[in-house]
Amino acid sequence: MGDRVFTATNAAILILISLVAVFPLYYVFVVSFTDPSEYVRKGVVLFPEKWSLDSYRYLMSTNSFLNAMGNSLFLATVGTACSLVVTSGLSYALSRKRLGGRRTLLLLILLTTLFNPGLIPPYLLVRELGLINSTWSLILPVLSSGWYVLLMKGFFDSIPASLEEAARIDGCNDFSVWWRVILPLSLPSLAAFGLFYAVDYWNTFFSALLYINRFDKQPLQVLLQNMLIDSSISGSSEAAQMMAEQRIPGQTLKMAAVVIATVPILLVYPFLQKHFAKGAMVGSVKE
Amino acid sequence: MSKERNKGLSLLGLATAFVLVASACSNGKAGGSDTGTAGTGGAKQEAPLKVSIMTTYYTPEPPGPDNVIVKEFEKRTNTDLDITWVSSNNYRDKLSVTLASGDIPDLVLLDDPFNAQVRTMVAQGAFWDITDVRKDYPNLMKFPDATWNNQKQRDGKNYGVPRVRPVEGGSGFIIREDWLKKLNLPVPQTTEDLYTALKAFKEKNPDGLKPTEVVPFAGATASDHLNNFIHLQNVFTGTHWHWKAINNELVRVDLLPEVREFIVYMKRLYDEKLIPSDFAVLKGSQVSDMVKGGKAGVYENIVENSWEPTEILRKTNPDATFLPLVSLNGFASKDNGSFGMFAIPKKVSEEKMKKLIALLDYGASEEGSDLANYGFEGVHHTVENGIKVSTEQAKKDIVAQQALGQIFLKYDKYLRAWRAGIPNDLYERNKKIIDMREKISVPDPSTGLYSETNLKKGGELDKKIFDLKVKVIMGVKSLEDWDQFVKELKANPDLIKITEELNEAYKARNSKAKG
Repeated sequence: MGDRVFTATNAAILILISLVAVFPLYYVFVVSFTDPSEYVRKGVVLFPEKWSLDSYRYLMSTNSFLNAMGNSLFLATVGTACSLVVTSGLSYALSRKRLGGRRTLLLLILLTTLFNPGLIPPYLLVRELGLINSTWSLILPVLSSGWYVLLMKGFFDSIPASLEEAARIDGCNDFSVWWRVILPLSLPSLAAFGLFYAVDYWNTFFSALLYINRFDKQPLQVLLQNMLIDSSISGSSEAAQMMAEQRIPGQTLKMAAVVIATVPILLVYPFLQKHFAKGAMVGSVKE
Repeated sequence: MSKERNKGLSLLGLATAFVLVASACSNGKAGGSDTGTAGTGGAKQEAPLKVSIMTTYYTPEPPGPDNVIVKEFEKRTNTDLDITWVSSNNYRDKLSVTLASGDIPDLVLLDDPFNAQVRTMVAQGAFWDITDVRKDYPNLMKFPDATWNNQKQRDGKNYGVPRVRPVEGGSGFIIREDWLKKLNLPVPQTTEDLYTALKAFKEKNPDGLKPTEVVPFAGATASDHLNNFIHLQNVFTGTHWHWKAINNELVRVDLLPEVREFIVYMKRLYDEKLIPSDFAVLKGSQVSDMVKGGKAGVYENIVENSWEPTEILRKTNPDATFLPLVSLNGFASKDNGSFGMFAIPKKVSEEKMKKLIALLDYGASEEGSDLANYGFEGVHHTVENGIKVSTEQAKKDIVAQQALGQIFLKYDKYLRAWRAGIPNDLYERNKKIIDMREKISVPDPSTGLYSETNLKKGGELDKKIFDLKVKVIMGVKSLEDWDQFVKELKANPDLIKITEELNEAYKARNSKAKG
């Protein structure tokens, strides 16, 4: 009896908590599908009387949104691919004990995870490389994360050296061992780190703010911030007034933009889910 | 052994190869986009002056490099403009990195000429002093003296060309005139009149809204200042913003009994639900939605803004009219006459510096300003009754004051009377309001005054004061708490030091102005 009361209360509390967590998502979703005039009239909408695709239609008709979406997709796919190649290559090489200067390399990589140079040096570097206004300025400086390299190295450490020897006897060189034997074996970790990278790239914001001046090269998050940020935040009242005047999109539009910006990355999760648990555990257990 | 070594080396090669491959392919791409932008510059007969500009914009998209108006501007001034448009939301971040990196464009918009970073750079001599240079440029000299004076740095010199704005027509109350008429109420002259009107709007709404639906006074605070309600506080204190000159001595208004009266008044509005009960967390856009939705009776904004909700409401209610008040309790605010300034870094040669100022001077001329703000007649605007009306093409080509007009704009006293689409009678009405305000308006006496302690501690102090005000208004804290707080504030060493420093600067400036 006591057990059942406990289970019931437990369930009730948990359901409540999950509702609280889900509600903002639900609200964003519903508002995005609400008729804009109804939203203005009511202010708060839980169950719209009139569903409408107007906001989505409008967003899809604007060049800037589609353009920013394309930029972000490019970042998330190409960036992730580049990052995975570099990260896995580097960490595989580091996991092989015969690599000369391995300790020094590892130490250098470890240093990058501990010390942050701040804002100005990367900016100057990117500028000197001539990457200002180039999408690559958002990929190259973050091509590989020291932390992920160390994690992945842990994964490769667990692959027995005899496997590599066997491949070598069959005529593989270092590169083909990595490409044809090691990589296929490490799909789970690739999936997990790929997801990490993809989310990072998809959420690229601050670096884009600094390195990208041209409107047509902005990723989605910068555009979203421009759309969503409230005029009241900017201290100047003139700025606020101008924003208010200048067709800053209505609430439904903003919500639609949020939905579109969230969905792609949400969609990736379920497909990588099965690799995810396995991959994230990588390197966490020492034998 | 040697074989092992070899393998090791080849692995090292593998590791470095990845880095090289990645950077090589990216360089190729970057090079490609570079030539792309250089190509748009094009070859002209004479060498046009290359000008890099960094500025902000408020349109949904900034004008591109091949914008027709930018091109025309380049042609008329024989320049090659390379404009970096930065959204107003991120301008501060971008500006501070740009300034810190030392890679400063020829013309850079310093939206706040008095922030710490700009002050330091000015003191280090990073920008050209244009105090004497500006006298040669007739259009820039048309800017009001107040505009130039309010931008003077600590040494009394101008280090940039102001992004000029009118001094009149700024923040004030805007009220539903049609509601007042239907309720037979006079236009409010005092805060008590305002209270009566708000109360009547709520109880006997002429548009038949229920008392719960009406928002008699729509307003919101920002996260760290009073925002929409600061004007009400100004009305009580009789000064613009935080400092009031009493007997030639600056005093922080929060120490005065007037601010206490303001809090009491606000508390009454809050308790009687005449302001939104969630005013402390509302967003600016939500306030504007209330106003445009026909629920609000009064809100705070600049004069020209009265047209926007009027236009929307008139679609369903032809009587709807928002009227900007001239003053309340005989008080109107005077603005400082600018919204930042365009500075020129010292790395630019003196000759080029003069050319840049000439460019801004052209932008401040009738012809240059009209081109930047309204584009071509017949294409981007048509003239009706002497008023320029923007066309759809103007939106398409991004021709607006909110875009290129942020760089090139002439001084226009009645700028804040006009907004696209406004009917002539309302335009004339707004002009009269601006004229009437001009006679009584009061400026912020502390504009541009330097206090190091204020830069360091001022923000924290402001936030504390603001927080308590909101709490007292909402009834979380009592008025006694406020009185106690003011007592402590009077003894606060930071505030004492700020007051001393500001007063020193204030006196120095006043004696200079006289001499």
